[in-house]
Amino acid sequence: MQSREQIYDMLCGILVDEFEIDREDINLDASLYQDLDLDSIDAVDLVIKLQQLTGKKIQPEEFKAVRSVSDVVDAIDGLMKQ
Amino acid sequence: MSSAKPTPPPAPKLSGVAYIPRWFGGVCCYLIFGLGGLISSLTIMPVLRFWPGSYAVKVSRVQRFVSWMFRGFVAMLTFAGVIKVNQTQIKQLNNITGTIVVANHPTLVDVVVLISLMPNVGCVVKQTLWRNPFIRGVLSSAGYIPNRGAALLLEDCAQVLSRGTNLIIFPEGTRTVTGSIINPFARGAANIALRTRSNILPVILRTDVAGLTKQQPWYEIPQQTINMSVEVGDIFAYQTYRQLDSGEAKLARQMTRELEQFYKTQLVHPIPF
Repeated sequence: MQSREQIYDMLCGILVDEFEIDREDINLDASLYQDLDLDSIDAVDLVIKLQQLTGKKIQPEEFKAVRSVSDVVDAIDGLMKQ
Repeated sequence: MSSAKPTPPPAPKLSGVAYIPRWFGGVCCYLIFGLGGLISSLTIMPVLRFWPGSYAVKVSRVQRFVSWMFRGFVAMLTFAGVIKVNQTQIKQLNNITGTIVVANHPTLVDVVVLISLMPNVGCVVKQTLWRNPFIRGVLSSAGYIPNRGAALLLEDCAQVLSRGTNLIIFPEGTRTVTGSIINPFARGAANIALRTRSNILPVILRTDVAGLTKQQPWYEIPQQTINMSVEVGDIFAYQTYRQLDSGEAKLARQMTRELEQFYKTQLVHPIPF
């Protein structure tokens, strides 16, 4: 079981390493698309990366409504508790 | 890159009575474009569609036909004095296959000019246009790609490019905002190139005056003929980037930055206000 803090740290790691995002720009309220400049192809990559790191299968529908960093943390947290 | 032909001097600015024939000519071009789309989807498109041949053969037949129609349309725009196109290296545009052709996007008619120079090309068309009954027939017969979201779009592009069809993409996403050299590039073109292992051929559309821009209403026909030169740059090869040891998302960012830099150095001047 991972805590929300651990999930958040993991997500920050991915965003910095894979998507060239500055660590200082990331916070829970940041919007993936507006503030962090991800595009729809990045979102697909992000889902794949999260699946690899969590070992959980993520349905595309579950990720459709995801807009902010905290939405991602919530979604992963929900998956881990299942 | 060689831009052999010297650029022609800017055209005179028509006003008053002298502008009236220009305006009518320009508006007629719109009417004929719309009518042409409607009439050909009711007549020639069905014929081309049911004429025997494999799917790939049919699609390429329609693409050649659209290219031919657009050549006529560009000639009409030239006759009306709306735009004058100078091309020096069209041979290259004629001969490539399975390549992503990117271009900057100064005017409303850029895609028409590019398709008129390429017999073998498709493009990604937004979903709203697929619901338009007048042109849906042409879009699907020509094998154009609907934008159905990232994953499906990549699959569709891979399929089209592997058939040898080229793909036009405007990384600016929409026409250049006047006062800018280019709008910030979206990373779609680079992502498609890297993931489908296709090269990018950059085309530079250099215009001398602002006309048919995003900031003007469609009926504002240019008072000054737009001189547009179509120049072809060197290929951005996908292998150059794939050799580097980082993820595709990062490579796409790098390739996009280098494309933007290329266009800024080539174009130098912003679209005037």
